[in-house]
Amino acid sequence: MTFLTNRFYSLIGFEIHVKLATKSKIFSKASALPARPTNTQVSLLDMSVPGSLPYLNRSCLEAGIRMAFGLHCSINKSSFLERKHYFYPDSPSGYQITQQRKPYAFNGFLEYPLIAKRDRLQAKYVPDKKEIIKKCRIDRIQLEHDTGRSIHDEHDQRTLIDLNRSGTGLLEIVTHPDIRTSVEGESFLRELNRLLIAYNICEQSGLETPVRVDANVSVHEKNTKPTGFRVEIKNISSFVDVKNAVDFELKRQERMLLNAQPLCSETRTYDSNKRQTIHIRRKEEKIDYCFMPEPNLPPLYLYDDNDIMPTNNPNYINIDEIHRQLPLSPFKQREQMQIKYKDFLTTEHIFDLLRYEMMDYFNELMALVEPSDINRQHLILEVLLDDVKRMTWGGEKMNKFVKIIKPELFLHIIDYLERRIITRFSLYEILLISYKNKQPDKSLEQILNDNNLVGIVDNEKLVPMCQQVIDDNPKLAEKYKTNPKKAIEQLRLAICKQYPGRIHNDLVIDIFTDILNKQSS
Amino acid sequence: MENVSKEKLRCTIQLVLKDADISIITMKDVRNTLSTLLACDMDHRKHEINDIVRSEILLRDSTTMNTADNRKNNYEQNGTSTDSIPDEINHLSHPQSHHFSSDVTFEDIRKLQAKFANERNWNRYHTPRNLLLALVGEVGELAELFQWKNEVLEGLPDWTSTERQNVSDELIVKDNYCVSNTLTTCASKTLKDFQSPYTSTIIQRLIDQGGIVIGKTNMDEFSMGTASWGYMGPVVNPWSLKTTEKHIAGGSSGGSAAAVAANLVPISIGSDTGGSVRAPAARCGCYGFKASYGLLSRYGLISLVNSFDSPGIFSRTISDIVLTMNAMAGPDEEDATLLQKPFEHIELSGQNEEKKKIVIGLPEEYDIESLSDEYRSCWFEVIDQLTSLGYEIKRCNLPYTKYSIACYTVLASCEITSNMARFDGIKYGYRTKNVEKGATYEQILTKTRNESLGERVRGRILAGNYFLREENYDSYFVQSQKVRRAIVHDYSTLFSTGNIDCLLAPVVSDDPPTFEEYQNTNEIFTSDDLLTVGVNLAGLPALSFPVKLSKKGFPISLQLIGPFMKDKQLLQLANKICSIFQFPFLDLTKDDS
Repeated sequence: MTFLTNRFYSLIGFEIHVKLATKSKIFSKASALPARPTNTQVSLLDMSVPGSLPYLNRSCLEAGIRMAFGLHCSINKSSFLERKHYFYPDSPSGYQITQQRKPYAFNGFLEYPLIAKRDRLQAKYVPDKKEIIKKCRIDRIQLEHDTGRSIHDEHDQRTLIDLNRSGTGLLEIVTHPDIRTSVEGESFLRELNRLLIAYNICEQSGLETPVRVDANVSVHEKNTKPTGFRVEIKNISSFVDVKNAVDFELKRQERMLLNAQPLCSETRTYDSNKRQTIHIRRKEEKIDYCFMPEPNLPPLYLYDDNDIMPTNNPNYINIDEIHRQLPLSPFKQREQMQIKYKDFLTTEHIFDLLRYEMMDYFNELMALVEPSDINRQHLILEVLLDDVKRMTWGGEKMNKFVKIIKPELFLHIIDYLERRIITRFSLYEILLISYKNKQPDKSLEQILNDNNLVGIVDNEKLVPMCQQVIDDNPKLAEKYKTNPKKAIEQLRLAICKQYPGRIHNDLVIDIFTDILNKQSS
Repeated sequence: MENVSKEKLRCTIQLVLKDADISIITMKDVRNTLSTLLACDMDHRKHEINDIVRSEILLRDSTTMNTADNRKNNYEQNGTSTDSIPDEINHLSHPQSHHFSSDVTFEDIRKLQAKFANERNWNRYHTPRNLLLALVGEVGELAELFQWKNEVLEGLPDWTSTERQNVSDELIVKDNYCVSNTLTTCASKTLKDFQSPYTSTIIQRLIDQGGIVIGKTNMDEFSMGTASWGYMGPVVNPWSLKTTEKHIAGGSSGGSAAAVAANLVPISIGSDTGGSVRAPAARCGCYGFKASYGLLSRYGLISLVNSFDSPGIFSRTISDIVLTMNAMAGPDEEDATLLQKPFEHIELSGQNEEKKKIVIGLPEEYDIESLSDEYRSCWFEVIDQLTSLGYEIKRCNLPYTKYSIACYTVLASCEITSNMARFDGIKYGYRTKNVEKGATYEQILTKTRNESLGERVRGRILAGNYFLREENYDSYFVQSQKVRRAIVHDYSTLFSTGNIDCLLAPVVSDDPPTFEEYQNTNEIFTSDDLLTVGVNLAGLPALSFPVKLSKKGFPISLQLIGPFMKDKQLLQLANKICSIFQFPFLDLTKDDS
């Protein structure tokens, strides 16, 4: 997204709510599994029955600490939880337990590659290649719990409440307004999401969105300082929506400024069908949430290797221990990949793998290939970024592809390709047939035979075939004398047409050259 | 009369039994019918008739379905039908002196049960069948205690005291503790129909150890107040039952205090947020113990002020407090504010490790202006007695005490505001009917809260909202937290560097006001609060104990305040000190009292 004119600059910041993938909720023992029948995962606390008390789920705090390390945050070794008061029917206690005055983590950053998914309408990728790694500062991360869900029954004019989500653990990540464009925003969120999955903080599940974003967007005149005005777009649930919402908002604000209309701070929502943001309320109507420390929960004390561990609490958390057990971050993973496959893998390749969602699949395949077999590794990369990319709509259907074509099958096909049982041309065909195959038991050989796709390598068969083609095309044989390159190419096309997908280019080119040289000599 | 032949008698009995259901009919029924049919008194031929009935029943059983032995076994196993069978059969298996009355019929029991249920308005919840099953359950629990015992002698002479306790402990619980499937109202209109789906931890622990919860007691609405006068009306001080004017029982756990003081139950449970156990215990004349914050689980206790709330015990002996504490205290994975280490059981008889001189502190700040001369002189009398018994008495100061009421008011109001936010009429509790269909959430919320929360409760909510406003937060809430820390420091310095073992102080300043007097005061907080709230701010253990009666005939009590988590030492010391007084405990279960 670029501005229509050169007069403005933008500030974009996010508040990101991450649903923690813990077995139980953050303050109760109820299950936190997504997408269950309504009101089946509700403990006494989750519906605020009088006399019920919260008890912190240790694994939520641990997940939070992993996130803090992933975002290079400073960690408060003593922080506390607070009550944020507001009345809403799906918030049964009348307050949300969160962190306001002292969050457990603050002052971090995330470096991310500028990679956005293809927009189906605009079909554009990365606009700026000079500054390919960007950095966004993180203001704070806080632990909190989610509210229930209101379901509006238009027919009966009533609101129903589902408390399954009430009390599930959330991390709220607040960024600085370091993001300038919608593509940067989307790229940032995608890298954050990779980190969340690598560190097992949230689930990669299609059932419910584990990441919800509030985007703060403001456009300002160049050479002026930000006025503090901002528009908050609440509750956007997909990264593409974030990009489109931000785009819409930037354009809207720019147009307002160009027309000299006043801009005011407000809260908006995004309608993904109409692709536009809609006004909800003005920001001037500031709500006082009457924050107060949660008296039922002791402060969150964290320890590191230098501390004397508490004797009275066996459940203490040592953050250095968590740090030692952290898996590689996606950033580090990519660094290591580049060293490991330095012979053929470029940064651009890595970004392509990310862009087309092929990174995990690629790594799975690599794990099954001999580390010294660079040729095969290279071939795999090539097939992925060419045939597979085409087949999966630029990676959009990669999930489905991975499910059907398991790494073993894929390597089997690559193996056939290397052994010349199949040709480079039929590869796409074979992948596509396997991909759409309704009978998973069917072996690769059967598929090849049924579709007559076995490559022809036998010279005794090939020579007469080539001779036949030359005989059928006397004009081309003539042409060989004047323009051998073009003649051979056209002969190759002719034989490929006759035996679709079964011809190895190098073999027939040699034979054609042989025969024609003999004829002309 | 005598001329009715044995044959005729047998025929008539056969006739009577023919159409009767022998599982219901009693010997008395048979005799009554016979005397009507034969127009004569059958009582003197009781044994003869019994013999005939017995042989008839045995004959019928052997011919129809059961052998006689089986039948007898059935009778024995099914305790509820014993009174319908001939006395002789009972005699066969029970050679002892124990008899079941042959005069009570099942119909009588059914009527009694219906009456019992009616009186308690249980019909809303319990069908007769439901009650019967509950009864069988209770009987089963009782039976379990007897299961592995051999023959049990009357009075259980060879049972240990704990075993006997299990059978006998009846207790009564303040109505802000959740007990599964009972009303838990907090004496508020909001929760007047609220059936708790679970039982609070400490009550469950008491039940597990044989306690039998026989009821819930009245209180101030959500424990806010000092008269135990909530939506359901006031609690009468048991010492003023015979007087024309009724006096308050103190609050907020007044119902629990009054029940124990009147000897209706040996033990009752209350909660102490700002003196709600100690004050009513002092006014009603029984022991009232508030444990250290963090020893007793608050799970299932409907929160007033989370960081002050402490469950408390009322009893007529200190050993009952110890027994109850041992049953209830200890870590609970539902309450995160508890001390994590296991609770060390208290033994009263245990030898004190060190034989040094006990030092008792007298906090000068507790000698408040409103303390009546009579109450002050009682305090000093006790001090004199203790001095003469060899205790060392030391005057001491708690300089921040004068700020304690202000500090308590701010912190309490803030937490109350927050805790009350859940009563919106959506999930449970009272919900307004004065809105039209399609009313907004805000409309339902406002009406519901206006109609169901008492004035005192709404006042505190309003105050709390004010203190918590962003611009007021630092000058009220934060400031009060600082004062609280200073108060905690006051106490801990006295106990550690001042070498004081416990403090002795009054609990209330004068005899309880009458209902009328109480209604005419507008103050939410009284100067008496100064005597009690400090302990809650610092989370200390404290025991209120009755010393003697005032001129007007109300109990005068004092309190012992111990160092944090020194509950055991405090109770051991209290046990010694209290043995010097002979307080004339009230007993309303005796007719002459």
